[in-house]
Amino acid sequence: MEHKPPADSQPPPVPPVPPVPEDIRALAARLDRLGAQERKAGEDASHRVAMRTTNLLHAEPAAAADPLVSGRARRAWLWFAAPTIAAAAVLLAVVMVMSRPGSLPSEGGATTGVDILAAGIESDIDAYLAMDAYWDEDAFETGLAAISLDAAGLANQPTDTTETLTTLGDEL
Amino acid sequence: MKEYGPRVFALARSRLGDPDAAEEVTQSVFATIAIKLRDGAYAEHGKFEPWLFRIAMNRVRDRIRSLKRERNETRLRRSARNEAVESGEGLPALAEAADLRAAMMELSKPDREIVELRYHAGLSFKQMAELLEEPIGTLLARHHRALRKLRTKLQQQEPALGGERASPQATRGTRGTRGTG
Repeated sequence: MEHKPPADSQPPPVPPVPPVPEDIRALAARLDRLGAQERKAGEDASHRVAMRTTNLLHAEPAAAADPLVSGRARRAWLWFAAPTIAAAAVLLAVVMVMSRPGSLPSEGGATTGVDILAAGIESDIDAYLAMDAYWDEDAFETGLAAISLDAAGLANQPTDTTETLTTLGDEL
Repeated sequence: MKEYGPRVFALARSRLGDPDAAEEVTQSVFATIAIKLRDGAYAEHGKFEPWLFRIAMNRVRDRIRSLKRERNETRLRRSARNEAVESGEGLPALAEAADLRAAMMELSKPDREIVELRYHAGLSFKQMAELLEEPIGTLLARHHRALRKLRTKLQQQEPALGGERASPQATRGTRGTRGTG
């Protein structure tokens, strides 16, 4: 089986660059000298830049000890924060619209998208509260007491066990 | 820094004509690179030089935009010519450099760019091809064309200087002849 080397491990061969044409060779040599002169003049500047860059790196706090962690943390923040921020913005918009006088539709009038959304949110809140109340201890005991009374009432009825269980089924 | 600093400086100085501005640009380039390398933001994988010089060229362009470019170039051309005339007899090498710089200022942007990348930044044609994302053949043709234009401009400048200065090659030739004679 032929082993394929990774795509970037073997760069394509580069053909040799042909020499500079003779008519411009002297000028190319002059430019080479100028370039060398400029680079030589840049050595002192380069040294100063190196010193300042080192000082800059020491002065600035590092972004994170592990750049991968900082990247993950940033992504996690965006993942959780963005939807929350978006939902808060929507809620705020709804509240602002609803608080304006005349923003609620009159009975029998056409409802806007915002009103539908507001109604949906209210319904969700109600459902949540209902769910929350279900787990409330007082509500549970009250509910249980109601079931017990119903069960006692049913016990006095001349019904068989199957009918009793069927009746209680909704309460359980 | 030792290897790339002078090259970036030379490229910036050639474009900007001012060593102080060139040093500032060089500082900006290496500060950016140092921070990117420290923060793990380098992702070029083996193409460090093209990446470095791409940043350098962008910084030089930004700097040129913020300077008054026309005034800068005119001033440089004028001062380069004056320098060449004034220093003609005493400092031929300096005058020669001034001539070249002045002539390069008159090239078009793509021609000047290739000359500066090749001779000031010291990039090979292969590296320039990666940086500019063009085929090597295209760059070679552009390079040869640019040098021919530069040669024409230099020839046009020489009558303006009055031909007072002897070329360094002629001077060296004469000395050599005397020595062996």
